[in-house]
Amino acid sequence: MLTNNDKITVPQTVALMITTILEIGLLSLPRDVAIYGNSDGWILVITGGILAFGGSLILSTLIRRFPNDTFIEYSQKVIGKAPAFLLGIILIIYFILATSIVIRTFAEVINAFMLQRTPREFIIVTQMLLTVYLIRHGIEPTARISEILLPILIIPVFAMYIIAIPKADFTELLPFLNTPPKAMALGSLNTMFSFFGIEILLMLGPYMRSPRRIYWTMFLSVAISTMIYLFIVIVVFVSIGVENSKVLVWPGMTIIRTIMAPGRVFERLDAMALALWTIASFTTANSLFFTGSLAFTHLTKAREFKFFITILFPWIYLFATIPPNILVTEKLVYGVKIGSITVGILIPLAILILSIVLKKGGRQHD
Amino acid sequence: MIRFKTKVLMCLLISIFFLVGCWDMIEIDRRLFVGIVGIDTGNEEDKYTFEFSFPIAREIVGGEGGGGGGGKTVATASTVGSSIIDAARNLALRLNRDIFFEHMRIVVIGEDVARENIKNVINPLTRQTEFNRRSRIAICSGKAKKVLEVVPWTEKLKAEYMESIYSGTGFSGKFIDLDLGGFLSSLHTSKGNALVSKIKPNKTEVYVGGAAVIKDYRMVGWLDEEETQGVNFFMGKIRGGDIVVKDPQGSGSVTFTILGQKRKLSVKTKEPVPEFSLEVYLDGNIASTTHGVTLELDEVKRLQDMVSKEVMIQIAKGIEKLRDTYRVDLLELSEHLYKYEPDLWEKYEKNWEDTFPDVKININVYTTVKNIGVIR
Repeated sequence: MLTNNDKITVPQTVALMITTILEIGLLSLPRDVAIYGNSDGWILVITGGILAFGGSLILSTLIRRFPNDTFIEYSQKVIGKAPAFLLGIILIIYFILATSIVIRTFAEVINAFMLQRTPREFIIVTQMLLTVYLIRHGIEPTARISEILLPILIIPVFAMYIIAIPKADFTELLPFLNTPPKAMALGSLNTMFSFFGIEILLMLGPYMRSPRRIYWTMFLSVAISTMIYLFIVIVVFVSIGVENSKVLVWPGMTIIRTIMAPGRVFERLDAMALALWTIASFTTANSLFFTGSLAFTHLTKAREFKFFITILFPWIYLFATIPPNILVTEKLVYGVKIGSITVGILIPLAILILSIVLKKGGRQHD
Repeated sequence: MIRFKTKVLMCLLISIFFLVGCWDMIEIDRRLFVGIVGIDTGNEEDKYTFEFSFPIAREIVGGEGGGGGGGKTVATASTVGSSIIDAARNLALRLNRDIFFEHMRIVVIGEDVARENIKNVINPLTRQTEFNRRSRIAICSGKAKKVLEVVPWTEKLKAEYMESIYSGTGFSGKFIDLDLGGFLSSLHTSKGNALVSKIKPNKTEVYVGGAAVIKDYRMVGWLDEEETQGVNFFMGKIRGGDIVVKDPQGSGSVTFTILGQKRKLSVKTKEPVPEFSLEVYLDGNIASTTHGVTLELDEVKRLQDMVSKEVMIQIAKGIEKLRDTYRVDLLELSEHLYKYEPDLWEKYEKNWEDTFPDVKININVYTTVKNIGVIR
């Protein structure tokens, strides 16, 4: 386990992917799916997951075709150096923005629920310093931390939300299948955005020990994330109802306060919930920040990536502190989600098609 | 090696810097925990009088030690403000502690505020996360101030006392067991309708029973205890309580204690107005009859029918008040339609307020006696 050859195993990749995907959706997904699908919102989680898996197939295929190259390298092979350089810049900008809104959302939630007076900048800087400290060590420690933190994150989440089940009103999931298909389709698309984090696959190719098993790796990652999201959405729906979920900004968090085990054994679990949320957000920020620096490194063909972490730091901090309040942040989040589709699906799709047409890249047989 | 030690030392020093949420750190003895919040109308437009009750830790602990508590264990403070948050900030000019709402036990809204409009008063309760969503809520007949003046004789802490009355659903079905979260939920889902328990203060105790009907964020009237119990029967929320009927054999009355109920609501006819059919299955014990009477099987059967009839009357009273007098659907009929007959609900959704008063409900109650005690 302590090998430092810079390649991560399949379990580590799965853990890394899952912890990257699980982030803001933990708290706000019930609201999004309630707005689009009402009582059928939970179905949207499943369909969104399927769509996300479909999208990840594109990147997976590219990794299989170019097993030792990151996106930067194989896009150069397919479309030439100059356009690929441009794409690389777009990638870096995307990762900067993505990291900043992840950290920013984290600061917003902490402000709203726990530390009302602490200045956001402080929370952001503290979080970023921790992230920087970890990712300077490279891909392996990052993946290892995800591997360790994954059960620490998932098991208490399950345990906490399960306590809410005895008081649940499962009739809130009715009427079943009453939403028009168009709304469901739009909702699925929207939910797919919540699976953003898959784009780290762009850079992860050569760092994986078994790139041939990428399909199975992605399937596991997306499936497990979907199940966790599904569980949370259903518990939120049956605890406070669909209408309420539409009103609250972070319904996942609000119901934690109302969960009470009989006999007042567990009450007011916010502190633990926020600790878990910190873990989820930390791992996501890690992956995105690291991938961004890695992209920069590969773009400039440098030998050390640590330097680029420092370069990106002030930009991420800048973008994380620009929005004045949650309403502006939400708009930015939406923008980043669109960006994730572009960078994670549309651009790789174009590259993939071109690579097939132009017959670049080897084909891997099982 | 020296450099290593310096590094470690530096890390420790820097980590002290980061280990505190120092902006938000408030020592626990600087906090004042609010137990009861009372809301009354203020003298000016858009202003309310807020009363807060706080337990005084010193007095409670000191009193136990022996020395005869000299001071009151609970203090109250009142102030005028436009919202709860405004009032709390106004109090900061008089109190030397920080007001902390997260352990709030009960919110009491005075009748005049409720009759006027509760929309603005409750907005901070939803918006801010510091209000405890598991606290209870009640509407007081008269001024809420009187509730805070009560000095209970069973408990030292007023708020604790009032809140625990609500856990008595095992003993009575004559009040609405709702917490703040459920109340806000109901308001959101039905766009302004809710049923809230009624609270009445006396000198040394409060009386929780009956309910206030809120329609469009405004209180329109009361339900008395029997009507409230009827509504609870309708919605399947009864967990205990009793029904008293006249003893057919003797000259007294029979007390039937309730163990639990099951209920089934179904839609019988759909056009032109929905007709519902309600079936209630009631379980209970016979606790008291007139002395000297022996219970045979047909007697028990007769008593069962009488209890059923009494329950039917109560449910009918509750429905009548809500449907005919107040014309507000707090029986969750709209939700039932939405969940189980969504196509039907689409038709009625827009004009539900007008359709609802014409709705017919058939009630059938089936009572089963489980226990008759240890004598025949």
